[in-house]
Amino acid sequence: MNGSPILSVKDLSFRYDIRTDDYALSAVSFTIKRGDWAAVIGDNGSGKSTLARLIVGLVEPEQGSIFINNCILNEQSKWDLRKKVGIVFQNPDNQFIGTTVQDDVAFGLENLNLDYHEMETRVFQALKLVDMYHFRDKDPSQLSGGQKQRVAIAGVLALQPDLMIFDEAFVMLDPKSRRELLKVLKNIQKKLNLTILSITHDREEATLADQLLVLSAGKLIDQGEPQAIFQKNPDIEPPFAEQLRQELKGKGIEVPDGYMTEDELVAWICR
Amino acid sequence: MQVRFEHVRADYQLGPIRTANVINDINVELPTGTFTAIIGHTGAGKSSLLKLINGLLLPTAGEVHVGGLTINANGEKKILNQVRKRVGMVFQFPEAQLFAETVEQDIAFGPINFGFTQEQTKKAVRDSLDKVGLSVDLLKRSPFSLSGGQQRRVAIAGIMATNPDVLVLDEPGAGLDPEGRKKILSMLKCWHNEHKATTLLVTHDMDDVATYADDVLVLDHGRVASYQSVRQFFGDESRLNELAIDMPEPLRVQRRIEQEKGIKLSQVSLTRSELAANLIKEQLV
Ligand SMILES: Nc1ncnc2c1ncn2[C@@H]1O[C@H](COP(=O)(O)OP(=O)(O)OP(=O)(O)O)[C@@H](O)[C@H]1O
Ligand SMILES: Nc1ncnc2c1ncn2[C@@H]1O[C@H](COP(=O)(O)OP(=O)(O)OP(=O)(O)O)[C@@H](O)[C@H]1O
Ligand SMILES: [Mg+2]
Ligand SMILES: [Mg+2]
Repeated sequence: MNGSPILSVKDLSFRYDIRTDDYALSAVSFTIKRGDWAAVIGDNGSGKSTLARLIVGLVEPEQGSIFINNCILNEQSKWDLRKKVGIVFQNPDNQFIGTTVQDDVAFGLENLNLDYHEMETRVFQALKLVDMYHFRDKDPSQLSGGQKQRVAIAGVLALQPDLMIFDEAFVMLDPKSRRELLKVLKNIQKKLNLTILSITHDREEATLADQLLVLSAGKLIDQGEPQAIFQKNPDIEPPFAEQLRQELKGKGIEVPDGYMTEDELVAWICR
Repeated sequence: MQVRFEHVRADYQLGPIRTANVINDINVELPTGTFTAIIGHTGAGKSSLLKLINGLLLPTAGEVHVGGLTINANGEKKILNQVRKRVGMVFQFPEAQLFAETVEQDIAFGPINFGFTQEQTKKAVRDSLDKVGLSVDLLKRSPFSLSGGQQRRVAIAGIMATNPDVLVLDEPGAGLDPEGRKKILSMLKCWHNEHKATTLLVTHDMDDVATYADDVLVLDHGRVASYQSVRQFFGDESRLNELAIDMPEPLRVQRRIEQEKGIKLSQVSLTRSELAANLIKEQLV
């Protein structure tokens, strides 16, 4: 099944208020292959969260269509397709339903018809993966910001949907935990052949992706491999090593031409 | 305005039950005009420490001094009101801070409350909108219909409009795009310098710590694990490892180069331009 599209978006347009001509998204088309990690970047207000809301069927396209697993997303298919897609919202407070952490994580599993034991195993495993197992009896509203984000992530990990969407879901984790969690996610993704769509402002995270989508004022202005995107678009802030290369160049140092990854730059300096 | 914690303890009382101390005997003085980064792992007590400064969380023991005002377990309303006029706090989740029907009303709330005239209020709203890079088109919108980063900007604008003496920022860069993040944090730093404010910045981004702060305070399980100048702090590699704290990007790359070349640069690079300068000085490029 690898290589077949899990998500395909065609000519998608959306306005929150159809009396204006402020398009939150206009004519966006792209495809994400099963098993890929795709990252979406773009300035504040460029339409990233709107895209996520459309894919999970929270709002409906004004124009264009969304295919999940080759099945068109509409009023009828929505309930079924929602089982295949899990999302962590930008603000985890908007997400909590349960009165305890474990109830909250279990809540998402209710439609899957799992037996009690399997359900508990999944919930506990997910909570352990995000290091929140000891907080399982706590009220999610009474957690720290990073703890809330972890619980929200556990909700999706327990669900193991075909497509996982993370809307800036890692911003409030400390850097070490963030790296560890991204590793955990990569492993699970590989093992279960899941697909990840991650909205992020973090350049290091974006460079880890197989595919990068760049939104600007509601338009998809570029898509492709991260390195190629940073090479082609000098307006998009590149990862640190490339910034350093440019700074050295600006200071009159003879550096190699063209984009460099950190490994390449370090190798060049240590040559 | 100086901020001083005197043997402060705090917890979150849940009904009749008291939780464990989330702030555990903190005894520290942040002099007027200092810019301090507060760092530490998830749940270390960073947000709780900030909330103690404007009385959103009250000490169960000890005292918090903000300028000449003293907050203790009693949490006297009169004192809290005076404190809140001096302390501007940006919350970890901006939505928790927004409340009005329109962006304009939200930002104008502080100035009106502080007795600004209509003219002054209008100017304060425009000025702070400009500071956070938002267009006036958004003034009539509901703050809840904005994108995450736009909400963050409105929350910061609302604080800037009140001219605080103490700036308390809980991950203000979270959710901002890279360019906006740089602009807004630089703006806050300029403001801090011009107004000789006392600023506390909670962040997970060590580059922000290195670029904007003078001092770093590391919290661990509600206690102060370290409090020193930024340069000293990041220069001490073994201590960083002990505390499981990341290095800023430039320093991480510096260490990597040092390791691969088997050398040691004479200076610690905290910013990109420092690293570039050090590489040039040591003739490595
Ligand atoms: N509920 C809403 N009603 C009206 N307009 C909205 C609503 N939500 C978002 N918008 C507008 O749609 C545009 C796109 O918003 P969106 O939330 O998708 O941006 P984003 O790329 O996720 O930005 P950020 O990085 O700040 O989270 C913005 O101009 C925003 O103001
Ligand atoms: N409203 C609350 N009720 C009860 N406990 C709370 C509440 N808010 C926070 N806590 C607990 O207090 C401890 C400290 O939380 P705090 O929010 O200060 O952490 P933090 O350092 O800001 O973490 P983060 O980086 O995740 O935001 C945590 O263990 C948390 O679970
Ligand atoms: Mg968003
Ligand atoms: Mg916090």
